[in-house]
Order: sequence, then structure tokens, then C-alpha cells
Amino acid sequence: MRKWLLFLVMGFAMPAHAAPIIADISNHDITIHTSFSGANLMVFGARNDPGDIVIVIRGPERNIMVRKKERVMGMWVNRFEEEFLGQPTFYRIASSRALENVRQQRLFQPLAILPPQEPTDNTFLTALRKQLIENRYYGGEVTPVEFMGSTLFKAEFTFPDNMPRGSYTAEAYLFTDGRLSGMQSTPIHVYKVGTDAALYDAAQHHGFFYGLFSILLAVGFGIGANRLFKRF
Amino acid sequence: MFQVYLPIAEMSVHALAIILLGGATGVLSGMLGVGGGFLTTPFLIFMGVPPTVSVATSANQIVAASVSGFLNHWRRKAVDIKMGNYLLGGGLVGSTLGIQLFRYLESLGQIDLVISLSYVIMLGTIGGMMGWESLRALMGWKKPKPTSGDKDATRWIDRWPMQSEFAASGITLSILLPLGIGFIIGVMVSIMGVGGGFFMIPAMIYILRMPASVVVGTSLYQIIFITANVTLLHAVTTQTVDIMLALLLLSGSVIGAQIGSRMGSRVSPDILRAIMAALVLTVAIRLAYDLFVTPDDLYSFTVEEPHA
Repeated sequence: MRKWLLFLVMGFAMPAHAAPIIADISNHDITIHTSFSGANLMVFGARNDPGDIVIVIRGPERNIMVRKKERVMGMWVNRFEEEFLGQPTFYRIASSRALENVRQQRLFQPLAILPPQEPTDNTFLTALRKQLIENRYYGGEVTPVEFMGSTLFKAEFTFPDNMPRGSYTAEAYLFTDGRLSGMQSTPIHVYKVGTDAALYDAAQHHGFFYGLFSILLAVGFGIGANRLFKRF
Repeated sequence: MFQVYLPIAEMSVHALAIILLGGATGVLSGMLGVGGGFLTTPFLIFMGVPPTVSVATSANQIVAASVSGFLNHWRRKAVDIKMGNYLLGGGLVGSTLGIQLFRYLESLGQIDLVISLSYVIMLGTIGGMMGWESLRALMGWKKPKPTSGDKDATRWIDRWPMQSEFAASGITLSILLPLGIGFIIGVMVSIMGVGGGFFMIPAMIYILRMPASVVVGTSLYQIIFITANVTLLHAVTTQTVDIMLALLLLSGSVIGAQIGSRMGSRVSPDILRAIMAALVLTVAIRLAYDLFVTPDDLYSFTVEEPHA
């Protein structure tokens, strides 16, 4: 649906001269390794039309279960639940101007541009968005898009250590006079490398051998510790 | 500086904090001869490690602690292998069923509650009992006379069928007893990530009436296999064993156990028990507080991983 709409909008917007907006990112691959503590990423580009730039970074989509606690015999227990299908597990937004000023509600919604902390009509979804922000999966604020001259722009994002693995997209939108005049999407891949990737893969796909190896490691440590003890 | 990324928990932690935690439980096990799993799991949870990863990884750590302790008892021939095997038989069934229960509760969204509640009940009971005993010892109060009659009195459980002789312990009893006890403790091990020594030892002394000399060795013998089974089952079904986390905990506990065993010989056992009781009760109160006090946020979420 969203892609369809983009296609239509861009079809009307494109032809005048070269692409209205060109964007790229400083790094298409974010690798998670043993000492991974987050990453910095810059989205940069040029606009050939005047207008506001909104950049959205979207993580892989997952089904998310939201539960609500209620007091049962004095204890707080999960009692209600609602599942949300295909939610982005990671979300960042940058804009060259305050979103209220850029904003065209009818465009933001079909484009799935989510202003941070915007309440929804579903309390479970609002609570989920709030928690995703608290856990740094969603950005709590709008990152500024800075201009160098009138055409070149850049936005710098800082990603946390807990960013989910998977395929992301960085989308740069150009809004001119309240209409979408251009858009470019670039992929980002977030994946584990080295020992972590090997361990994670082993745990996911070879659970039995992974478990066996963990046990042997523990037995080895136990025997080693026992040997050490004997000397004292 | 010492941040380490945990591949299964998918978060980065301070390596030193985890090594210290392993060290602290190692000190306890060296000093008091307990596994320390009952402290590792709640502390990992306090540090933000998901409860499921904490439980599965603690079980893995306990394998190491019990192998180390078992070897000492084995050298002194202080193990009743036959009894151990019956306990183990019950335990393997119990822990396998326990894992199914764990997964079921996880799908209902109630596993965190069950883990916390089990800990509050277990730590509260044990801490209370230990605190009371050490208080009585330190204050010089008299021990009340046992009222339950003499040790050789016949109880209803002594008339159970399938009686068998356990030569190493010098007792005869129904094999259903160790099977049943093993089963119950097996369920607890898989849900709580503890070795179960805290329950196993009193059960062996008071219910099975085994001689004190073989109790610890036999308990450790079967704990090795039960926790190994739990580790394997978690690795296969829930994929929550974090080997990096286990490695950090193990490094700490090996060093801690050495310090603990040397400290243990210098400090009075009553004071040790009082310290331990205070520690156990603090953890129980902290966990209970989280259960009863109104949380900051009533909502919580779980991201469902696509099944490959």
C-alpha cells in the first residue's frame, strides 16, 4: 500500500529535471561484535527542489505482543494482551523543520511516518510506542537535518547497542508545498559478525550441539576448579 | 571499557559486574557448600538480563559448580550412587516436564511472574529458617527438643511398595520416594535455574533419613545431570543459554570459590549463616517488592521472532 502510493506520487513528481532528492548513507553495514556498543550513521544527500526533508530509518518488522498488568491478590499479573502485526522493531526520524510545520497528515499516515510520542487511539499501541522509545528502539526526538548551502543536507544518527538485527531502510522524503516531491530509499544491514554471529547461529540452528558444548565447557571448568582447589 | 555484548541475551553488560557476581556466588559455594544458583538468577534479572536467559544460563553454571564439589566427595567415597540414580530418574522426568511448563507459561506471558514468585517463596522460607537458626545460635538460646519421636519410628511412607536396600546409605525404603522427590525438584530446577540442593539436602535428611556423610555428595551427583539436562533442553527448545554469560560467571565463580573456601575456615559458621540469611532475605524482599508495588508501567511487550 505504502509502496504503491510512493510509486504514484513519484511518478507525478519525477520528470521535471534530475531526481528531486538524492540520498545515501555513510555505512550500509552495521556489524554487531563482542564489544559492540552502538553505531553512528550519517544520511546525506542533495535536493534539487526547495522544500523540507524528512528522513526515516526503519528496522525489520515483527509481530509484537503487548500485555497489560492488573492487580490480582495484591500482585501485579499480566491479564490483558493485544498483538500488533508487522511493527517496525526500530525507528528513527529526522526532519529539517519541526514536524508540525512540515506535516501533511494525509501523507504522513500512508507513508508510515510516525512522529515520536504521538498518541494513537489504541492504549496498547500508545503504550508500546512509549516503551519502544524507553528501550531506545524508537527515537524519542526528531533528529535535525542540517543544510550546507541550499542543496546539500545531512543528518547524523546514533544507534544503541541493543538494535535488532535485520534489514533496515533509510528513506529520505522531500516535501514541497505540502506535497511529496521526491523520495529515495537505501538499505542498511545490521548483522552479527565473528564469534557472536557464530554463537547466535549455533544457538538458533544447532541447539543440541550448542547445549552439549555449553555443558562440556561447564564440566571442564568444574574439573579445572577442583584441581585448583586441591593445591590449597 | 569492559563492556561485553551477550550474543543470546542481545545486550551489552559490564564484564566485571558479571565476573563479580560469579565470584560472589563462588565465595558462597566455597564457604557454605551451596551452589549459589538461587542468587545468580535473581541478580542477573536485577541487572536487566531477561529472566529466561538468566534461568537457562544459571543452570549451565551450576553444572560446573556441582562437578567441582562432587569430585571432592567422590574421592572420599561419600556418594550413594544407587540413591542418586533413583533421584536422577525422577529428576530427569521432572525437569523435562518442567521445561514444557516453562514454555507454556512463557506463551501465556506468565513466566516472569512464576519465576519471581517461586523465588520469593523459596528464598523467604530458607532465609527465614536460616536467620532463625543463626539468631538462636548467636544468642545462645536452647535448641527445642525434637518432638517427632525417635528416628526409628515407622512412618506411613515406610510402608510404601517397592522397597529396596540402599547399601551405601545403610537404609531400606521404597524407590518411589527418591523418584518422587527427584521429580518435584526437577520441575523446580527447570523453572528457577537452581541446582535444588537447598531442597534436596533437607529432603534427604528428614524424609529419606540418609546419613549426613553421603547427603551432599549424592545431592551434587544428581544435580550435575539434572542441570545438564535442563541446560540441554533450554538450548534446544527456548534457545536461551548464553554461553558468553556462562563463561563470565564461571570465570568469576572459580576464583570466588577459592577465596570462599579459605574464608570459610576462618569465620564462625554461625556468623556465616547469619550473613547468608540476611543476603537471602534481602533478595526475597526485593523480588516481592517488585511483585506487589505498582509498576511504573503496567504494559510490557514481547517481540516474536519469526520461526526459521
